[in-house]
Amino acid sequence: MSKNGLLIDYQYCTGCQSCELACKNEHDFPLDKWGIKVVEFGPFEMEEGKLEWNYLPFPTSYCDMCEDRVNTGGIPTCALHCLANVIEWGPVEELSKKLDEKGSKAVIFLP
Amino acid sequence: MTMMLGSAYIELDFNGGSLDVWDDPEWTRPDYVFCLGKEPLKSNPDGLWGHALIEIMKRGSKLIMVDPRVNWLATRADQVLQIIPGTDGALCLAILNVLINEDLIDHEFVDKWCYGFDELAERVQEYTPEFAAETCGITADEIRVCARKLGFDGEHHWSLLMGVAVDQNPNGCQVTQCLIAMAAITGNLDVPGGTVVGVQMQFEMTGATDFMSDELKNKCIGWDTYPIVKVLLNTTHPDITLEALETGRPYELKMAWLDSTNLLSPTCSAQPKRWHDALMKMEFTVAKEMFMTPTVMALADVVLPLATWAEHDGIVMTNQGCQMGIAGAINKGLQVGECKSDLEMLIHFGNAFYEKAYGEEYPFKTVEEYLTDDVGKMDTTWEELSEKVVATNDIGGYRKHERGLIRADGQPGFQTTPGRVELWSTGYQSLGDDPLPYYFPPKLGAEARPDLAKEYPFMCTTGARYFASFHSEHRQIPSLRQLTPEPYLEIHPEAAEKLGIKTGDEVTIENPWGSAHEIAKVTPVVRKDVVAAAHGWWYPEEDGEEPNLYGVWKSNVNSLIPHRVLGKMGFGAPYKQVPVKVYRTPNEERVLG
Repeated sequence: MSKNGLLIDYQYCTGCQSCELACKNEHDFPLDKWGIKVVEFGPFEMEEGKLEWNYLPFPTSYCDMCEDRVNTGGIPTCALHCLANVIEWGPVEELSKKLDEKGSKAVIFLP
Repeated sequence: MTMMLGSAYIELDFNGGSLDVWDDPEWTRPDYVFCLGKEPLKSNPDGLWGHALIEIMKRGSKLIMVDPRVNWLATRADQVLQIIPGTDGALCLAILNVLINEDLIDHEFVDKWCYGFDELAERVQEYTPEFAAETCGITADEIRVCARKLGFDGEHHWSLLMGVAVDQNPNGCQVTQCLIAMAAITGNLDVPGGTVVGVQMQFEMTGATDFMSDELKNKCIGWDTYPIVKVLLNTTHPDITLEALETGRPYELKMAWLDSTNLLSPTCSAQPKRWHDALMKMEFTVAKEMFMTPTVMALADVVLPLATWAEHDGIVMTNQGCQMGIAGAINKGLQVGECKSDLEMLIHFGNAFYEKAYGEEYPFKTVEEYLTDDVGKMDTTWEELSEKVVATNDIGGYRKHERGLIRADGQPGFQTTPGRVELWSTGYQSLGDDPLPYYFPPKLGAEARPDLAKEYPFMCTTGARYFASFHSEHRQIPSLRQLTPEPYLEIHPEAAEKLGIKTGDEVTIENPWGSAHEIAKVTPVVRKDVVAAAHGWWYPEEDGEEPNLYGVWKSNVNSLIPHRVLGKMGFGAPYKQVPVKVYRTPNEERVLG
């Protein structure tokens, strides 16, 4: 049975950081501890007139895939609160199919 | 919008009346979204659900973004028009020029529903793409390519996302005219995939002066100079009100009621220090507030403690062109001290001060009565809504003008004198302005003020939003302050290098009207000749007493904005187009961190 992972579509992660706060609230983390943290890549002008700029929510060592929530029928709180609906979770096998369909600018994390 | 269409508002169609939103088979996504004047993800203005745009883009809609800053959203756009601040009017007139001259027009809609097309067509001839390109700092090709995407072809549609940057511009009334004209003549008003036209609001917010005597109404400050504030907004004119406060003419003001404002912070006032000094003269000032702010600290004699959203029953609505399609119940979760909600206080004081108005128009003695009445318009009761949490509301669907849903008399058409979309505005003419749109260079820009341009070479824009805060709010919430801990001044790498400025340096932003300190962020997102300053900053962790007032004067970018630089009708201040110079703050002058 494959593990659960997080599929992130970073074409559309807007960097809103809602996942960070939802996770901290869920796990009662102090200010300087994150279960997931948005990384900003850019903006870099690698070619004139064009900006390379992505946001990526990056699960940390403290991500437990919201085990308690999931065991009572819920979904990970980052995925629930994501404003852009770019976080999906589930068995890696299923996520891999979706990654393939998405085709680009996506990543699967196994925290 | 009110002038040209008689509508309360226009907005992106995100299917705000349906709980299925973009999965609703009745909804069509726009082929293009033309966004000028807002970055909806962070600002969600007036109840727009900003991230709806992401869902729409995921489903194939293409974005055209007009902004002096290439924000993140622009990197996902099909086309970006990175114009010099304040030149939006030239761009939009040139787009109209191309649409009309290349005949990309919905003639059926124009013939049936527009007024003044021939006059508009003649007016836009002088605004060629070449003129606009030179004015805006972009290319004529880009303008033509953009216009052709928006053109009518009988098949494709586009939706307009128009924002407050249009208002924060002395030329803004004309920019609005152009944007609505662009939507109208290409057949994109109130059609699937187009721009929603909102009818007059079902949930009333104005009307306070209906019960005032003529004698009292005629005392409203600024109504004779700028009658548009009487016609549209039912307020006094702010700039003239400041002058009244300072001079005692036409009469002295004695009392201030501060509501939903932190005006001494760099938000809604130009020259906040002048407002501070003027309001200090009041005999009695009341504020209602949740948090202590510099404004309350400086000015209020009495503070009414305000409940937060979790502390009172209420309704939240989506806003799609002032069409409140979905209502959600807030069920009071807790009582904190003696805090009361806005609604409780307004009903209480309204009944005490305005017996007639509150007796006849708003006969509500309690919040429950008000909510019941409001919710009754959606065919449900407050009890039902608070249980089921969400209710929807019929917001009229598309082509409302054909079905008599826009005009107050129920006839087909728009709520204007000719009953059509006024491309030639009778309203503007009656208020002393040109009935057709026109462009003028930014009033404080290099062309109009070469005397300023030499010493103040950057055009400074302000007001770009952050996820972590709303204007001057949230600086005191630790988890939000952590996300955006300090005010950033965005400056282009080439400009920064010339000035010896690096990311993290404290910098002084200065012009003849004031100065402000921020932290430099060297970034390619701004034009080389533009800097973008953060607004709303004050420091709740600092001493709140006078003269420090939580450091409200340290990063007060509104000090850089001159008083009373307006459009002809009295709207539009240069919040996003002030000339400034920037330099690394000498060590002995540093005030931040």
